[in-house]
Amino acid sequence: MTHVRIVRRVSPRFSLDVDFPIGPGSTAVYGCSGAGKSVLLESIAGFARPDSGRILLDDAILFDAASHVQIPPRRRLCGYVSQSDSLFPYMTVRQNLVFAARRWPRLERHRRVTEMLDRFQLSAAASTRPRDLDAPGRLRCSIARALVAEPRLLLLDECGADESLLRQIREVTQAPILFATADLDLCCAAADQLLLLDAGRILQRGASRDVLDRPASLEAARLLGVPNLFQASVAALDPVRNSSRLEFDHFSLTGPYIPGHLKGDRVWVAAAAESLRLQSGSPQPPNTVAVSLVRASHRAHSVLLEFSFGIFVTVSHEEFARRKDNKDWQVEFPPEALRVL
Amino acid sequence: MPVDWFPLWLSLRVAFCATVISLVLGLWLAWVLARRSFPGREIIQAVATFPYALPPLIAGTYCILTLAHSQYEFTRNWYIGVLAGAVGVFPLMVRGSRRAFQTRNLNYENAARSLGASEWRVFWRIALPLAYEPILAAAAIAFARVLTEFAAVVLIAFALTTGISPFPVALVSVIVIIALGAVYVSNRLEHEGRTRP
Repeated sequence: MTHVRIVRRVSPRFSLDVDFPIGPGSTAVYGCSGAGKSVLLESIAGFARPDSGRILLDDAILFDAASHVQIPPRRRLCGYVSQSDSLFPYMTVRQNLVFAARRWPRLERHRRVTEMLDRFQLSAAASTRPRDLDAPGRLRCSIARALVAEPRLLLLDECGADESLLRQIREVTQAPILFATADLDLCCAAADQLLLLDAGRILQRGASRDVLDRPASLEAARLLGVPNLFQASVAALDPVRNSSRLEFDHFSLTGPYIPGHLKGDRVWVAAAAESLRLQSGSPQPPNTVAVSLVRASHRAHSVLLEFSFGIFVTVSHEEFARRKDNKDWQVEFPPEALRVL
Repeated sequence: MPVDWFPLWLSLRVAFCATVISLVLGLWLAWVLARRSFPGREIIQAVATFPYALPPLIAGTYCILTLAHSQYEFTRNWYIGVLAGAVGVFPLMVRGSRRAFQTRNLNYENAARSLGASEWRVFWRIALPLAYEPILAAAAIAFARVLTEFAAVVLIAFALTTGISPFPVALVSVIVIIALGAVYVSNRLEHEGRTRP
């Protein structure tokens, strides 16, 4: 079992307080700048001592405040790649890897280093200094160096690894990977598990898709960038038909049944911008709100439309081109798109 | 009149030995102060810096008196000068080295630790190669300071005991040139340390 349960007071205004297991595969730690991602990874790596708690790696205790156990970083076998360049500047690329492979006999060391250089397309640059590599090359070298030491857990602290590099890492090692990132797309594409971190606390954790689709709290929804967040009161509940009636400030909608709530309760409702649909003409489909367009924000692959009442809808460029001359805008809220927090 | 070069050789020997001693001890203390957190660290730092506050006159007078009382046997008592010099420049070494260790990125050291390197190996293979320029710069300044201070003391003691005055110009010039060279090297090393990527 690999489990992290630590509390670390960094400053009077910020403390890290987390408790989560690390499963096999990749786990993404998602959070904004200052959420505590680096503090968390540094604590696991052993560079910083938590105030309390326990860190287990494959059932081995790395840190236990109660019994004053603090295994030094060199014995933890946690590969660590920091967000800033940490390749030793006065060594060549090969020497950097050899430094990490020191515990093996000479021939074995040479074999491992050569193999890792090949795997990460660094063979041609083996004799150069890190400063002569481009940024992706330096990142590959940092990761190859961390992997050549055969870590039991790989920690990547916003190092800039993309999906393909993470896939490449998983081909090389079976060790769990814990990577900090502020890129939701990367979480979705490369992480089996996702952990939302905000102000040193875990807001939500679980399978990446589940967390992204079903934020559990208002804070989690805000962190995930869900733009449609409305406060509503529960006007009706029908468990037989699995439906509810939600009264918002300017409109009312039919949503799914909300277990654990009573009529009159105030709730927060989230809806992803991609899950709402634009409608036009009459008759109006159910669960549709007549709105006016406030502004259109063009993105690389879509257009984010901001409507009155603070409603946001994402549409493709083609659909926006088709509808941009609309006078009457209607937004449909499919009941399954409404998520009561 | 032929110049007696003995004060120069003695001063060089004393300056070299004092610099080496203060370098070794200063490096160790600077590393501990820069990387370890323990109760009383600030007090140790204050004690290590205290010789800064001592006027060189005290160390110099002590040396002169000791040399004078030992029948001017410089060759036998030069170690007192080494000791006085090492104590005098110890704060210089500690402060210079500590600053060098602190300003160098901890990332490299932590990366080495995560790769299984012991603290000893981190110090020798990572911290020292990254910080050697400012450390050597401090050592060069320390050398120049001990050299000039001890040379002055020796020349005064020499003048008092032999009655030869004023000091030989050639001797003083050579000492000044060597000290200037050490300061130049120190400045170059510091500049290179700052501009190195």
